[in-house]
Amino acid sequence: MAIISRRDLFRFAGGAAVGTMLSPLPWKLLDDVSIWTQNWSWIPKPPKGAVSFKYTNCTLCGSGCAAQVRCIEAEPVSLAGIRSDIGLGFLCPLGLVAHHLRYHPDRVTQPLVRAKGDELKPSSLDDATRVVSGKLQRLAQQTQPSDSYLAILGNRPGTAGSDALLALLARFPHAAYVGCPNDGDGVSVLGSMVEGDQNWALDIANSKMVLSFGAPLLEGWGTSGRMLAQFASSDRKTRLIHVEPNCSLTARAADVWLSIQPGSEAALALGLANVLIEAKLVDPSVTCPDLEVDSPYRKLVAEFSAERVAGLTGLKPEVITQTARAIAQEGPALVISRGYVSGPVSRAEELAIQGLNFLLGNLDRPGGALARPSPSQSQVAGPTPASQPGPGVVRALAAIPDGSVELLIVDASSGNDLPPWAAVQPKLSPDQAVVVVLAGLPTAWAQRADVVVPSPVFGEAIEELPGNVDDTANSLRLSARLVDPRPGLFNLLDFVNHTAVAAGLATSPVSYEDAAKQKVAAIHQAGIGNVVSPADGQAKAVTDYSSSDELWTALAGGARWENAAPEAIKPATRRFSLAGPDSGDVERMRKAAAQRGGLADVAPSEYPLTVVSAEGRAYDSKVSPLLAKITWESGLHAERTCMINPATAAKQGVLAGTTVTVQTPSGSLDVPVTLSEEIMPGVLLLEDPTGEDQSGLMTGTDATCRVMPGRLEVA
Amino acid sequence: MSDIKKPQTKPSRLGMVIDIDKCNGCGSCMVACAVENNVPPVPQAAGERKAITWLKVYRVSNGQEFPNHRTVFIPVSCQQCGTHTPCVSVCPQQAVDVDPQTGVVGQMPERCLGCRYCMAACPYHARYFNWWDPVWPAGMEKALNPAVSPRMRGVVEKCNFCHGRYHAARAKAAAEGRTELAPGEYLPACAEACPTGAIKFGDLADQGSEVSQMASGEQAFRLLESLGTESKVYYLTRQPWVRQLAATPLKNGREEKHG
Repeated sequence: MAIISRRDLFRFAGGAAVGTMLSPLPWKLLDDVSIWTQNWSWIPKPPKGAVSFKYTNCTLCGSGCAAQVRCIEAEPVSLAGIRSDIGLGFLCPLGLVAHHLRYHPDRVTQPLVRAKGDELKPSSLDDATRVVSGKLQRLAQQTQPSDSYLAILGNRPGTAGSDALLALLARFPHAAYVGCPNDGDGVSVLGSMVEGDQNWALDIANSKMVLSFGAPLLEGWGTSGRMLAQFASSDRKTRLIHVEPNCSLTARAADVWLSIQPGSEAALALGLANVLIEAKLVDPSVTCPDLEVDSPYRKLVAEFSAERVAGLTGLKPEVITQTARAIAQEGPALVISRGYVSGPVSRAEELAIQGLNFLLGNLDRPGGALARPSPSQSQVAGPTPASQPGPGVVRALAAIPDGSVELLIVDASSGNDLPPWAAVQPKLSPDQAVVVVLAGLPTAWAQRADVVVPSPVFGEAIEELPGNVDDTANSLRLSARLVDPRPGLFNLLDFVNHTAVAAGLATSPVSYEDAAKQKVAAIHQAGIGNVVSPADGQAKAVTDYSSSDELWTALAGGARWENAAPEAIKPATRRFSLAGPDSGDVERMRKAAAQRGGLADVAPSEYPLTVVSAEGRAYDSKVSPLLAKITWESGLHAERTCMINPATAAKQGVLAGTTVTVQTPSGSLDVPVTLSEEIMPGVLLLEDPTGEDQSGLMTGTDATCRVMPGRLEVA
Repeated sequence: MSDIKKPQTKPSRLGMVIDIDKCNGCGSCMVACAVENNVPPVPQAAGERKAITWLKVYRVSNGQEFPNHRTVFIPVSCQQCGTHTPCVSVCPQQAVDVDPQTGVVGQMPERCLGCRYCMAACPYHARYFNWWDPVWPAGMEKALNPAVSPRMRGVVEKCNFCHGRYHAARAKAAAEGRTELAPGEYLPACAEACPTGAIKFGDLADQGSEVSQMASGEQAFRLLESLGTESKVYYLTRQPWVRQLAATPLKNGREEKHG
């Protein structure tokens, strides 16, 4: 009988272990355990269902790019640009993931109300309505001239919703409806210099040459797709001269980049005007009393010789002369400016810049500035034309007396910029002001609010898009309602209507959608213009639509109505003023040019640096989490930073990544430092610090500023 | 002998030509890629090296001082190596292969065991490991692309020229009785989304195609060409310093200086 020894047991166990290891068993077990722990019920499964396509226009910025939306059942799953539309197939990263916004983890889903001094707390619509309607009632009943204002931020002139709201505001003795800063603010100044009430646009698409005073053409300006198609290519047909201190994307892509000292734009514009006039390069068709020798404008221009401007701008005198000759002889060049993108050139600087367009004969010329017909001229006015505001409705922030606003309603739901808090705060009544913010996603404005009202985000509501600075045709575009919205969301007009009804000030006011429908009905009745299909780019005459409902269905489905400016409204000769519409404008231009936008007012020893704001790619909380991830990972669109030249950083004793306090005479802001050789030495570049900036860093005496004297300290 | 005819498809060499001088770094290509391929938002604390970006736009500069400083943007995805494909040769699971019909380097996450040899072997840093479960904010899973499955934690993934789109285009062509795709009939999401037209896509084997002609031009180059990987992603630029830069590895940093 064989005896099983202990050794045999060990040998068996060892052999079994080795044998098992050589069998698939442990490996399969390992594999399965691995797979079991990799797959869980919470791992999402993509949706299944019928595929369909819808069309819309994006509302996340002023570009209003057309988009094709792929849907599974009713759910949008991707967006793509449409080549045949004005955006030429472009969708920016924001637009490509716009359909994610409704699922943003920080989405505002119910009203928030702040008790005195407390945090915002979830509340009911009734509570929010009670707070606002009580104020509305009081403001509507006041009669004294010194009484308080109802102020609303978010006017989009020319849109049916804004027109309807203006009609409602006319019932208040003191009301203000202030527009959003936008790229077209420069051309608005041009319009103010021309006699008559016209809405002007820039025919950039047909221009041979563009002289850009800081307009961020490649960073997002005007109709972004159109600008990129025209200017991003190195074999472009339009020559670009770009004026900007720093080496931005647009500067680097330009045919000529004029790197001038910050704030010296007005000086350069007047210097160019000087050369144009003295060298007799003014367009021969231009006639204007301001060109006579003794006129205040001629005297102003005469002060800015190429030599003097060279000292102010840092350019060589011959560069200024050559540039003036180029824009007159190789163009004519269309002169554009940045507008309010992240802080305006002051109005005085804008006047000096826009004066060049008049000298170059750019009015009413293809490739120049063209007048769009106003709604009343093209017979497509909405229910209440913008030309009939209430007697007490003011349109500019500066026109509102300080300390007078008792109820401020801010439309933070759209993609447009808003004025900075520091410019608005002085207007508020110190004791009684209530700030109401409509927002779909948390914004810095919402942090200042006493009441936050949830509003729709992209795809949840029909919204009318205002025309762009480069849209020369009168047009109407709507963003489509792609999905059923959550209950309890309000856009600006509907919320004001709702509270006005609660206050007993209105019984059945026109809703936003009804106002838009009335405008479409007016277009149908007038029978003018064409409707361009987003699916194939084919145009169909309005007269071919059998009813206004049919036309509405087409437009609410992403189609675009447009009507080119009729020749009949163009006068033979327009009267304009190079000296500006107001009596003190020449003096303001002189001061702005000589003092580099006010920089010279401050002692260099106290503020040795120049703070410049720029169109930011600093995406904030209002974007899809997917976009936030990608931009953060790539480092292309980082968080807000202060960019400075390494040489400046060395002088100031700061390192990359250090958090510094940037100080200007109007405020301070803590930001991390990024070093870049693209920044002019001595300059601090802050990406978009004014849009929702609460620090007041770039807030001047009347509005936001593009350049400010500044200094930095390690925080 | 069977008389059933098999559909004959001419082998292609799908590739991409990216004009660096046209790229403005907007990032639309990266976002379109992530949407198309259901790339999840990883936790913010993940760090750059653990994030997933099938297509990543690098910003590089010439290292000069202001005002001569210049920056370009270089989108880098899987370069679809043609020969000596490093990731294929090191994969112990046969989870990576080169499609002989298209030349596209495919990745099969079901086979991947997560050893990450392929990531170590890839000279372009174009492969990414799923360190976390693919999770989206609540509700956003309804907005996923139904044509692409999210990958599980523990596997490697990378650009495949949007092969879901390729198969959809082939199926459509077959339904119409065609065996070949027309130029432009199939585009990866990045090429479709590029607003400046910097990314062109097509068959490099077709001498008459736009990409083939662009790739054979004097301004064309490939990244790390000396490695001999015969990648099928070409770049164009008129700037000599960028071509010099292409011969050196891109660091995984925010901005690289090369002079």
